[in-house]
Amino acid sequence: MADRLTLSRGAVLLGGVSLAAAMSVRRLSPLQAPAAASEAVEVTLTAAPRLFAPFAGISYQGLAYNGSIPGPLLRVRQGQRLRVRYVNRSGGESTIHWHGMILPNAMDGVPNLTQPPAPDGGTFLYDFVPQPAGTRWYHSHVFPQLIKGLFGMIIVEDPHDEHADQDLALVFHDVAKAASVDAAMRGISTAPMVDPFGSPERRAMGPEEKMGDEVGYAAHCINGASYPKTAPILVRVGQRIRLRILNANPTQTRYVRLAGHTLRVTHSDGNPLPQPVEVEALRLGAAERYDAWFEVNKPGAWLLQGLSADPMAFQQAVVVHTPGMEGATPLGSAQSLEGVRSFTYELAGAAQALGTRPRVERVDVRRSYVLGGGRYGSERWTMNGEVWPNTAGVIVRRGDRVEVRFTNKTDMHHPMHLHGHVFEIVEIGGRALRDPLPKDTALVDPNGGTMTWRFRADSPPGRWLLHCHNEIHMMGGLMTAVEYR
Amino acid sequence: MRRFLVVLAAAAATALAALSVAHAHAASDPYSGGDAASGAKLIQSSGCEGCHGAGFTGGLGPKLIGIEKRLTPAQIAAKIKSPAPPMPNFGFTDKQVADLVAYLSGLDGGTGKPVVKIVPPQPSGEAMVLVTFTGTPPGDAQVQASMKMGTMQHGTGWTPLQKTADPHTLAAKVFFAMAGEWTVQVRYGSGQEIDVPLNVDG
Ligand code: HEC
Ligand SMILES: [Cu+2]
Repeated sequence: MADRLTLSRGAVLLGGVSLAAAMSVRRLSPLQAPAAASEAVEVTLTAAPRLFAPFAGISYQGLAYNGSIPGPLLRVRQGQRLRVRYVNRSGGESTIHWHGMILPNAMDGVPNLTQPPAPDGGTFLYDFVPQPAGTRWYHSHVFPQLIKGLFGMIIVEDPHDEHADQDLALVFHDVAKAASVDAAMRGISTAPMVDPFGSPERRAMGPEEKMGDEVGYAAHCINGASYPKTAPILVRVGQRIRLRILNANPTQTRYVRLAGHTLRVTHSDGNPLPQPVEVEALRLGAAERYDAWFEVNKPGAWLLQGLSADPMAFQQAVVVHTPGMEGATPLGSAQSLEGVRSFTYELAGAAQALGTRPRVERVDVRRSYVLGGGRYGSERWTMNGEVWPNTAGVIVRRGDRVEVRFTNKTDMHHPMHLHGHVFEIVEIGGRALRDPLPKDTALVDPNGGTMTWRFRADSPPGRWLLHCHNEIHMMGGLMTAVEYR
Repeated sequence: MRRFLVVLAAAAATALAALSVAHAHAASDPYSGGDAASGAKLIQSSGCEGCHGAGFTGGLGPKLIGIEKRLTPAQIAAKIKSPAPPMPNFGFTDKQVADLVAYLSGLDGGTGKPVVKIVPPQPSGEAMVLVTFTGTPPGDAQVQASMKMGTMQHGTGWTPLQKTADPHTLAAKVFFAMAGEWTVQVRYGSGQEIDVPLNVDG
């Protein structure tokens, strides 16, 4: 016990926060009282192998933080310090990356770039003030530990947030078939295409490629459990519920629907949207998060589902019900987006007409990247024709205004992620966004799709990775860095 | 040229029986006469097979192959319109439910004769067996190759036929260990079997 939780002056014992929260993640009950006021939150995260069996017939040798997939839900108040003693018993080198955080570069958790990885049996101390406020997450940055289960959600509470009657953390993840991961690393697709009918992902693929998705998944989970074993969420008529949803899938985009309800999206990747948008389905690329709200207007039972055309997609569901409706048949949704109003960046950012340009403002550093590679049988995924570490980075000085533009020449969406910054999407496919969208990860459309980001280089100096969050593409070389000079 | 002799006596008899059952219901049952092809699309986009097993062979939900022999269209419809949990209510219209009933009722292979094709037609060693059904391929179809050696029967053992890109066709590889007079046997549903004699060269 002593090595799981450490106490020090001014620190709060996380028995009441992180462990109870870990339980609540599993049970999907409302999160516990907000993080206690104190200078610092201290926690020990221990990574170790764990047999994971979310569904009959599926048992998987994974990795877990503190024995739990996903790892414990961490909750801190804005301004509070977080000290995580990382104990690595994963069987290999490991780090923790704090996804979406602006923090000292040495805390960013990129092996051999920002820190030497913790060796197996070793430890590392992550010590920083988590910011900005919002729904963030943490995960190993050593392949394939994220795929195996080393991830969890961290919430930085904003005292100015609107009141929610329940604030629920929902981590969507899927158990990868190891053989398909191996094949994907050699550029071979062995899995059927599972993007939902009517999704842009499905439309992007030519007919002859209809069969191929890179990685196949054997089980689909919400907070580490599969329907019908997911613990129902009890809600009451009149309540306003805040959902914090993370797609922890390492390769696939996930669509999320709550049958019979619309969702009001207020935050993208934890950052407040210019204005909320009402949608019927969320769309989360790998590593993306959305905060989405709904109101309970009548008694009933409904399924909250992750949509995909995978035959076992039904597993990624949880019943939301009012008192007395626990035994009722829940209303469900088809695994299809035909006729469904789904979240898009264009919608949330009020995309203007084709040919419009982002607001004219001073830009000190401009960089464009052509995303390429991904040919069948080749493991190379490229930026301007090069693979990491030969890709040319973005060289900035502190305070610079930076613009990065992507042109995606491949036939897959790429969830591009920038460490240590919040950027704004200002252009997509030749359309300026009237309300630039604040994010840390964004899907770049395939087949010639473009996207422009802007950000201020005002993070702590260092080398901040910029890469595709599809683990296969990242390992295939689709990675570079923003370097402060 | 080899011959493809498809022995369908048993299958044809069951198919006829199924036809007459369907016919008997048609007059009175509002959920008969749906469109199986539209039903197939709904099945795919609703993810029914995840719970009911690939090919509806049974999983979390019960096996649905041959459900038309146990239940009338109206009874099947009732199970879809007001399901018991964990099966969700998808909020289908009556027309959609009728289409689903039509699809589910054809799960044991459809009413026409399946066609068995062997590629290459004159195999030595390995061959691909393709079985094309007139309706939805049954989820429990299997294939084996066997040959008589004197009084002994040598067989590859039954292996499941897998889905292919063509929604009506199942396929599997078979291996002929030696030259001789072989029989490729396909079986599915409740006792239907197709035998294709085949001369395998050394
Ligand atoms: C989440 C899992 C799940 C999904 C998805 C699902 N079912 Fe079911 N289904 C079940 C279960 C479990 C039962 C058995 C319910 C009971 O009677 O206890 C069932 C029962 C049935 C029955 C009645 C079977 C009988 O013999 O009584 C039919 C018909 C049926 N389902 C059709 C469908 C169709 C069509 C779909 C897709 C539109 C579908 N199911 C999707 C789980 C599921
Ligand atoms: Cu990518």
